[in-house]
Amino acid sequence: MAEIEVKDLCKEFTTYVRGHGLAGSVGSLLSRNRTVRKAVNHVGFIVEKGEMVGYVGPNGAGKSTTIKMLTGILYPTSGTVRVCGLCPSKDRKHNLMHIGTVFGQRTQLWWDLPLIESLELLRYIYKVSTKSYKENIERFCDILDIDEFMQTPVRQLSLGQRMRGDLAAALLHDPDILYLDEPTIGLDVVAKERIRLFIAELNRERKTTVVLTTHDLTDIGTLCRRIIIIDTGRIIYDGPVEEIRKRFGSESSLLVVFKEEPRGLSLQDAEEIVVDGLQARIRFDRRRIAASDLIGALLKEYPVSDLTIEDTSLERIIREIYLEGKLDAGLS
Amino acid sequence: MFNLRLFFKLFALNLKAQLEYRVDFIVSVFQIMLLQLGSLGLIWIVLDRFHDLGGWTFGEVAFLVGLRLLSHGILILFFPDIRGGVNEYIVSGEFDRFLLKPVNPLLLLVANSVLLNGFTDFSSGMAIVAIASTTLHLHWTVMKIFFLAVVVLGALLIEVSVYLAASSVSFWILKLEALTDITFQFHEQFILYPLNIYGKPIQALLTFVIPFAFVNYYPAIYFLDKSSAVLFHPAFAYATPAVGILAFAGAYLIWKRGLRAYGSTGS
Amino acid sequence: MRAYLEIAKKSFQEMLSSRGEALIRLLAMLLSLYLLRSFWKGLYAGSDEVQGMKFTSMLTYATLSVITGGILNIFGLLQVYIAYWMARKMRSGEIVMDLLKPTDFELYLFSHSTGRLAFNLMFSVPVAILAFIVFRLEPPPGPAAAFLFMGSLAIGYLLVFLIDFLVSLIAFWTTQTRGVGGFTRLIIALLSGSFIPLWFFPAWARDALSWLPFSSIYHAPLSIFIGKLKGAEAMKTIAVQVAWALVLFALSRVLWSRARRHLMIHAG
Repeated sequence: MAEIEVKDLCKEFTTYVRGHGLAGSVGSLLSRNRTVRKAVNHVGFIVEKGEMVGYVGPNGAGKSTTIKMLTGILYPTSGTVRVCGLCPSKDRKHNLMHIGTVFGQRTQLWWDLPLIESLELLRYIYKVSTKSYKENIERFCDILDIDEFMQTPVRQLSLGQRMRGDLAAALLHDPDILYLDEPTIGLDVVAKERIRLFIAELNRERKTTVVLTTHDLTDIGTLCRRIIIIDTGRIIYDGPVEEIRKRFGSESSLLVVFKEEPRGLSLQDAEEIVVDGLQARIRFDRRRIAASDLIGALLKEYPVSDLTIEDTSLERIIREIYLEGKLDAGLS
Repeated sequence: MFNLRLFFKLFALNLKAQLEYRVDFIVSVFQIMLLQLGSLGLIWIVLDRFHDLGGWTFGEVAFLVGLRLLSHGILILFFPDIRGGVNEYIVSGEFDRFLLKPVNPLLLLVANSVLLNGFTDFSSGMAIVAIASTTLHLHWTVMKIFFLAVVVLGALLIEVSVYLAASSVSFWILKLEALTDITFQFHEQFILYPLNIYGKPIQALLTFVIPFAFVNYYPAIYFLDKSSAVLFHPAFAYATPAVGILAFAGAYLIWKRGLRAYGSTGS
Repeated sequence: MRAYLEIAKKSFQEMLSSRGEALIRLLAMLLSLYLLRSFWKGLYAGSDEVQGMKFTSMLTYATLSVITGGILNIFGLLQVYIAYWMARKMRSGEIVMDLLKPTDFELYLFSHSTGRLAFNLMFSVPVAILAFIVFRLEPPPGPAAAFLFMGSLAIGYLLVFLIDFLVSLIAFWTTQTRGVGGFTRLIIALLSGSFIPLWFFPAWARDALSWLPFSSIYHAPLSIFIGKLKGAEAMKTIAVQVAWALVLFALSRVLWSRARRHLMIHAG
């Protein structure tokens, strides 16, 4: 049996458009303009035990709505969700015993109290046995080094420390599935790496299934083998990360601001150049030309006042997927 | 049993967290004492001049004030977040946190924080009831003391229910400070004075819709032996515990439906 | 001068954008009016006059008290406004931005708070007019009383501002003003005559309180309005108000220069 089974899942939100001002709000009491928005639109996928899946999409694409339905916070409008054979919205409590959640910027720890107090409480809520509690705490101290700040009030922890604490809190009851929502947001490079290593190890050793939503593509690249891309409520790609990387991974853009309008701007190794007044976006492939060479060539010919390199953004990948029609690997 | 123990564990935890801000607490003790006794002083000043307020003497009005503070103190101490907190949590998206634990979300909500001010309120309430008792030469029998405890618990249930129902509406309509604010005004100001000074609509409102009158007015009729002041029905003087249970059942139903609505709309 | 006018205008517009809040406050105000009316009706129990205070005068006083509260907006909110604002800015360090502006800080805050006042006036005055018609209240006894009332109310506002500003300066040392702010609010609520006019207080308390600045906020203007204070006595009350305004203003200048020095040395 697959661990997570999502079939034909839809979620609609009804919103009422209000008129402006006092007259509008009085008017809206009498008649309201209803609009139905499909936040999740016929989504389906299966996640096997021990898989690590990246679930990505731009803001408002429907990824957190999906996660909320998987955790049982939201009820589906239509379609089915099965997690470990349970229906999360009907069997909320049982489902929650199986899963752990870390929601990016929001902590589930007690703000004014040391981490240990939160862990003690969670142990009671999840009815964790003394033995596995001890073992888990030891393990977390070992790899997450939470013993460094176990006795410090959570409000005094750095973001990275807090995230480690939150991970420990989410994993205390050895869940089968871990939902991570933007787990590395706002962290510095070292802290990010540390969190990633821990998740990878967890998945390898405990066979914990991990569903990771993020818009940081590096998170996905280092952790997941499979990626599901969602946009405006629909899945537009579901397949190996490798495929995406091969296709887009080596492409970058150079954003340039010139001192004067660059007439007839052309560069030999660029893939595409779009000029807009004093600004230009130059797309290039790192396998064909190194960024430094490209910049060197540019500076030799044109007066430049500012430069930035931008890696392939999720938005661009999505645009490309639309442009080319569905990738062969996806939605087979 | 599990839930009750969990509640007290959460309570202990929140208490510890509150004690991180000890100076604030000490300052607030003086403030609340001054506020409660000062307000009582103002009532004494006018009643010294006017003799009575709608047929209630100073001691009797003080009894109303004190009785209200008893249940109010417990409410503030144990369940401060029920007063308007829900709206805030839904707006900030923090409400999801309560739904991500395998326990009843209402338990997590009511046990989400404690406010030590409630302790001061309760003590002021005791002091004011004592002042009223001496002024009125009340005779406290064991039976009466027992009924007082039951009344305070019933009143607490009424307060919890009204706020729970009012804040459950935020599951449907988000911008809801108005409703909680108005509830607040009835709870904090209107019931400080005897119900019979208001017009019939307000009397009916506070008896049948938001039954705050059962927090202090009706039970005071029993304790002060003032059957002349009873409104609507003489049995109301004893009805506080029953009203409390009824109100809670109703409010819990609204809360449940609200939760379901939240599940289908999110926010 | 222009700059200060602009600041006031901006804070007025800020208030306009929170119309929802205003609507709630309006509703709360109407309820307070009803509550106080019932309260005094219950006390008078049908008699026209008690202790030399006519029922209609008392009702007028109570109504004006609610309206004044709505205008000054010190009781509708949960905190002393400027003090709260300042404490927040002190904690976030944002205060530096305000100090960098080429304006006098106290005047800057005064303009800001006057913008709010203008907004409050806009919705409180219609309520006042409505209440006067519905409750059949008494207008002031003559044009002189009306004039003195407005003057006294204006000085009352000045005093509220100065008290608020002085409390807020404490934030420069403590970075929070909840305690002191709360006490100030409490003392104003109990001793300003906002709820119970000082007439009903025991003589010694009335005399003592009339010399304090708090009675200037409610008791002085409202008593002038209902004709309880007139002639030489009214002039004396206004003189006390003016004296307090001068004293508090001087105090605020001294404390402010100290606060600034403190900030430069400690907060950097």
